[in-house]
Amino acid sequence: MSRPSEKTERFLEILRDHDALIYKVCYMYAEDRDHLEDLHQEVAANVWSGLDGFNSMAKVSTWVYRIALNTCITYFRRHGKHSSVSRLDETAYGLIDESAERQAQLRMMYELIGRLGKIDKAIVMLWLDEHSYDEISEITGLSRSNVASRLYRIKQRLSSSADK
Amino acid sequence: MNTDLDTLKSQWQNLDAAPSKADNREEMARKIIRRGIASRSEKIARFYRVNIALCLIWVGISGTFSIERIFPLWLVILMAVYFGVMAFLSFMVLERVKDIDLSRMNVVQAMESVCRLQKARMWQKAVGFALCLPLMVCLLAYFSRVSSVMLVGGIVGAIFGLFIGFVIDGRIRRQIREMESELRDSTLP
Repeated sequence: MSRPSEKTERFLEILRDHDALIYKVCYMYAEDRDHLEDLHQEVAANVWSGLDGFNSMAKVSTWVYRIALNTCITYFRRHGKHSSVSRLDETAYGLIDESAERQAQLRMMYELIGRLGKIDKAIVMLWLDEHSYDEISEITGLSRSNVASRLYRIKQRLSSSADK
Repeated sequence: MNTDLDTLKSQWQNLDAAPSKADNREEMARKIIRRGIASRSEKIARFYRVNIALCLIWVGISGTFSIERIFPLWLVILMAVYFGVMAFLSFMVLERVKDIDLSRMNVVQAMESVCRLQKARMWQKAVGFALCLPLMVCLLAYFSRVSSVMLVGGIVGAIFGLFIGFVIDGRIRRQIREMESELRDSTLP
């Protein structure tokens, strides 16, 4: 990407096309609205920094996903309350159009996902977005068998919470 | 069990994650491009480059203190050593920052490199504190002979700096511990 204007246009295009994806990842790791906006901005800044080294043959959405995950997981927050559970409201998870019972079940599942460790959250998100075990293994750096066993345990927990 | 997970999957994929308004997004993007907003790594790198430059300048200035006989020679040497060591440690931290590339690393690599960076920063602060303490004692002893106002100012500054350092570092240390715990768990089957 030699010309600055090319890079600028490419950057704006990536943000336009993948803003929803970036926000989805940030929601999972944010503790509150301020944290969410900080993460979103940080992801965008890292996308800009990494754009020169981006291999255009690779899939953009996977590349942006990787940056979003790495950013959210490694972001050290200096201020604000420390919480392992996201406190974003139901609207953040798009629950407003669901029936009351379904809302309760989904909220419980999201809360459970919110309590997972950072790596497990990443695995679940990638699985929810229909990535294969090999893709999850590549993005997270875990072995395929590790991904499979972790995902199995997480799915068991999610299912048992939904059954309650 | 599968029905609920399928529902979760479908709901997740259809989630409209409230993308930012186009104007706000464009404004943020342009600030990033104009370097008005920088990533954490870039801010840390900038901080340490300035730190290195200042430390090296102080090493140079220390020499003039001796020539002008502002401070005794032994104190000047102590200051020069302190700033020289701090410049070297800042350089080591800067190298750790350069190792981080969140666009190419996988999650585990990213966590490991950030942990290494934060630990390098902690070490730099710890060594800096350990070296600073005798230097501060010597400076305060010298100030006490010159002026009581300088002595009081020096003590207040030292206490304030210590407090700020411990408060900020406590949170960072806790986050490093959590991250390292997850990394250890990631190697378990």
